[in-house]
Amino acid sequence: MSAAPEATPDAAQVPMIEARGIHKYFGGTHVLRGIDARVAHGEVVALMGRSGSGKSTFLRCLNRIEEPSEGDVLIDGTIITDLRTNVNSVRADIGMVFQDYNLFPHMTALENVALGLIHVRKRPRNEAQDLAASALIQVGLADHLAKHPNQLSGGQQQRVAIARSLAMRPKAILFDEPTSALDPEMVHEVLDVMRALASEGMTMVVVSHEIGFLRKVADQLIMFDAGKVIERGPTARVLDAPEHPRTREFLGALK
Amino acid sequence: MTGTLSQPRPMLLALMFFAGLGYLLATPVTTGAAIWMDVAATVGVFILFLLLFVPLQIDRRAPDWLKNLSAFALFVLLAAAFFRWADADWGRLGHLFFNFEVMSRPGVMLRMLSGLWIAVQVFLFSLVLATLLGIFMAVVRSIVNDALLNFFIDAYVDVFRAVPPIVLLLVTYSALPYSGIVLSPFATGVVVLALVEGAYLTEVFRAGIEAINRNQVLSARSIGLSAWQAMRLVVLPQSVRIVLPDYSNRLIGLMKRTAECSVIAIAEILKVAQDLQSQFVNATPLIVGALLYMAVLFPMTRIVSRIERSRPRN
Repeated sequence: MSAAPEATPDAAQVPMIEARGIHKYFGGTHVLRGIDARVAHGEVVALMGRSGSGKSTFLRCLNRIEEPSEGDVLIDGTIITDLRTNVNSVRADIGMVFQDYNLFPHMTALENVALGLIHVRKRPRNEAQDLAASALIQVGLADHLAKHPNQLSGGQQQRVAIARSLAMRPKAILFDEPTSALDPEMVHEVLDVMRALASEGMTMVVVSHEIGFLRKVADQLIMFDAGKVIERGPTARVLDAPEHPRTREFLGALK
Repeated sequence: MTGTLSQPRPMLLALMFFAGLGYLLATPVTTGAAIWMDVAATVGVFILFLLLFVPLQIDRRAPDWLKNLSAFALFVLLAAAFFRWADADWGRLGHLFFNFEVMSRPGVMLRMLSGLWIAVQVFLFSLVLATLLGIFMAVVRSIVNDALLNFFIDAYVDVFRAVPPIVLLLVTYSALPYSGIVLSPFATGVVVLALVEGAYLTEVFRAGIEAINRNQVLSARSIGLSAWQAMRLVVLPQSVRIVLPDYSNRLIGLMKRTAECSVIAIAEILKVAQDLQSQFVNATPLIVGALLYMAVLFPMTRIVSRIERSRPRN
């Protein structure tokens, strides 16, 4: 992956991802109650909170896999929560990695990664396969290109999923609890790939409870509770000196 | 307890078969008071045969051809017992139902075979139409998912599943001349069967689409694929394997239902056979017709059960 874009004064001010007053209703339940967030170019932002606090729903609103009921999302200064926006091209520019990998079981690892390049990016098939292969090599799966998902371990499947996002050359990647479905011994191989991405300047929003990983990698931590942001700040500060009692309670329960 | 009886003994079974067959065919039926001994002997033949037959059938290691052969042997014994005991007019039955002379008259077999060809054509045309219709309805229902559209699709499915195809054929065929629509009987038959089968296949394909985890669609959409692309590239290829057993079962049913087209004067197997039957006052064409259906359907059912065995688990 290429390094972070040159930090021109303009790019420094316009965030890569900005959320303005996001609300989300599921039927009568109000799951997001006005969320604002800014993610700078090359920044890694962690979202934490108990289950049902709205962090995953918020993450899904950022590429409109879930439609926000109110509020706007801006990618690189462009409003994408607009009926005229081509939502498919927005999603092609923002990668997403799911908790249970969601690879396509009827395709090989290589085909999984090449699918978007062929059908969204409209690359010729052999060029797409070359790009897909290099993305898989980047996540350390050079020997597994022709395997189907059911022949791969959980950690390997999740790395294929990361390569699938990566191959699209996205502006940012959203991670929705990428390691919580993995056996403990496979967590590190996925976190290593994510750490490498972060050091290369990839903009990332990560829902995760891997404290040790977040402390090293995340620049900013946002705490969710009952559909609201209750605390945010530099990761080390929030982890070491939480201000909100709910944050303290939550972090205490994690240990 | 399970020892001696549950052992398969194919040689003994073969011996029992020939002994039983010899008794049933070679000895004349006893009359008078000793008849009960004859009945007991006949029943005994079958009890002894079954005692050897059942262990062979339930043995997992026994080869398929041996099981099939022994099942055929049982069938032959039953036929022999029927032949021995039934007070039938064999000559008359043979003349009416197995009359080679009637079938060898000029043009008769040709007409039967052209009936088979027409039946196969009705089957193939309505199958292709029904498959396209079913996939289209199921895909539209899944992607557009509009309340009004869903209502119309469900109404179509429910109505066409609730009316017997033969009734629909007759109604359509007799109403068409007054509606200003000119369709040949063949086209009418194909369209009606396709509409009925399309209703069932809509449900078959819908189940196949809904069986795919919703996260597969989310994952496909998050790469930037459109809803149609996600359906075509991710969902349908996975649905096909799930749907195949149900689909191929429907296929057999459709082939059998082509016989119902005889009521609207399509010259398929049954219609030709009935015409010949009344022409020659002889039922042999019906028997030949049944054999023609079997000739098509027997290979089909074997293929389908092979497909069913390969049904993907989970």
